[in-house]
Amino acid sequence: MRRFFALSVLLASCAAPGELSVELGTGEAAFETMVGEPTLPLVAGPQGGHHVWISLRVAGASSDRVDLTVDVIPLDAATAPPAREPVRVQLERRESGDAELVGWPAELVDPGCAIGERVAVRASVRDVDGSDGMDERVIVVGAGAHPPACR
Amino acid sequence: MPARRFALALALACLFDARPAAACGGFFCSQSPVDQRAERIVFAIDEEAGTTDMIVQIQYAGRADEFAWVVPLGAVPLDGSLATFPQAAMVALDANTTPAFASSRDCVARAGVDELAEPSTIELGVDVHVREVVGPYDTAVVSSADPAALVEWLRANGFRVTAAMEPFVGMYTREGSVFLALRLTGESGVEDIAPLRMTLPGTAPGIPLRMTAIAAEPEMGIVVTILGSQRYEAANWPNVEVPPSELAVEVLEDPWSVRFNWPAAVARAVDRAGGRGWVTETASPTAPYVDRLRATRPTDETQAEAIAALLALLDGRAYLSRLYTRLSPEEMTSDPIFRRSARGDVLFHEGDFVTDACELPELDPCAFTACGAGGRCALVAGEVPVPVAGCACVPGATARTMMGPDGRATVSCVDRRMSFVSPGDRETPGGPRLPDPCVGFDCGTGRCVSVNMTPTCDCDRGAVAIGSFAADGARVTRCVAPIEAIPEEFYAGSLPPRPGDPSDAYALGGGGLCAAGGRGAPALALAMALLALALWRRRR
Repeated sequence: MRRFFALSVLLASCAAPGELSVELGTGEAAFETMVGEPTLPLVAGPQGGHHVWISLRVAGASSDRVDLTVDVIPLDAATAPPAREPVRVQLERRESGDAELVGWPAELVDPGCAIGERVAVRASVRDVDGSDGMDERVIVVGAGAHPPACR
Repeated sequence: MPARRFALALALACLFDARPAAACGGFFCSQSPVDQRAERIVFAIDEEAGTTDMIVQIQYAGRADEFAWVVPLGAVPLDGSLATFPQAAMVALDANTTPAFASSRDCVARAGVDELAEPSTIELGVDVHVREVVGPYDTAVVSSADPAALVEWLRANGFRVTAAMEPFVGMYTREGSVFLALRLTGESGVEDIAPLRMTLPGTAPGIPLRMTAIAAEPEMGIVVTILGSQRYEAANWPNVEVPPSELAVEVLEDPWSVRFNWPAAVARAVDRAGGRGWVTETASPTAPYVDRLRATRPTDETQAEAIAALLALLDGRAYLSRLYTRLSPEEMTSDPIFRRSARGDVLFHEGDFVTDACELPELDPCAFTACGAGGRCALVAGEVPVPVAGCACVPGATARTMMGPDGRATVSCVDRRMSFVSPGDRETPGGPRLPDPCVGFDCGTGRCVSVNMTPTCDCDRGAVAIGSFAADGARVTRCVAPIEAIPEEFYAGSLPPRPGDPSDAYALGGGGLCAAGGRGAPALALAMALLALALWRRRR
């Protein structure tokens, strides 16, 4: 009974009215849960750019089109990088009722210097009704196949 | 330096696509284009090595001594990987992977895919990583920490860098990008121009489009083919579908010839998605293509070379994804990145186009027209019984005639804010002032406005623009009255927000989008922009 009560409280806190439940995960082709502080490898674009793959699970959104903001913040940075602007994305509804966004490239501003470092990845979601939610996880940036130099 | 005019060109593309290849009896067959003007690029991913082969097709029409091509890259191509790729292979791959539109003798029309280093020298503060002859090209891979030095090097070596481009070149050099520069060797002619292939580190292909906005044409088509272990689709742009109800077919004078509105339907679907999106045209295993290639008996050395190149390209890459989009400059506000996908095959629209008899629906010219996000199609009474399609544009947009995907004249609304060059400007320091392209250009019931040195028409409220080609090939745009009045509320519409200045946009990762900007915001944008600049120069 006590467990049931605790679970109810937890669920209520996750999906309160006007608030979306957002789970930040990783994965390029499928959602993968983040456990602890996972090491996510840098992925190099052949024509430049480095990112890590993130994925999202969102519950409570009134529409499949939501505004997404992803910030990658070095934990030891003296000043936070400029906040990004939201991007409208399409969630994919799942049978369980929640929705996923799989394989979003979270870009790192200075990827070479972030290798081996802990960074916070923050994903904020807002639906068309103005309900919003956020999740933030700490990851360690892995070198990946073609690590860039720190400039 | 003599007053040579350097045209810079990139192109990823060749054209053509075809009826189902099986009906042609092999991998090489006669072809009818769907979007013959789209830019095309092939990415072939080697996940084990963590590299990607990138193949781009260079389109150029001009003098050989004026040809130059420059493109920023995220890294120096792998040693020895710069090579040409057979043109026939590029065309055949495209032809065999496009959605095929065909009509049968009983007027059944269907759409569907066939079943199917180290720096060697330092000059002027510029590191020269590679300097070699590749096929018809004299190539150099260079980098610099000093934007001014790199611009100087490019200009000194015959690569035209306009004032509008300098901030972008600076952006790339500050980020440590390397530049690949090409020229034709003295012994090579324009007819020798061939697709270029290179191997680059990384396995997440992307296309740098932000800078393309400098001078891209409205509703520019882009076709991306990705070969890998599984399906790929867009990661940070919407993956868009075209409702079958929006597909239309026109029976031409030759009863065996039809045209389909696929490019226009894609453009409208992308506009509805917010101006950015990709339609997956084909997603399927490569085995059937390999089987067909192996079964094809080449008729000449060119085909034999193409077959060998394609078999090598497809070897070890089990899956092919082909994506298509059409974009206007104002929509190029972030760089699309592609990712592996767990979704299944796409046998595109197979059966969607079937009609039981010759009773095709009445032709709607607007179904074949994409006026852009700032436009609305309206019919105009023409000299022939069938009305023609025209475009009304929202305030801030003007109408421009261009060659459509099928080679016909078409009109689209362009964002006036996306004009980077104006009459009276100097393209390069000390160069002549640019003339006004609107001199002598008659818009009818509207005014001519120069957008990137191309005459466009700002039609009077209520009028729509129609386009045509004059006998000499010049583009004609006229504002005329539509059959039905344009609703007044249309003019309350507005264009999407304009991308910021390049340095701001970059600092935010592409207008705030999570784009592949990172270190090397990429390669093709500059080249595509240069190409577009070269194109409008030739059109003047």
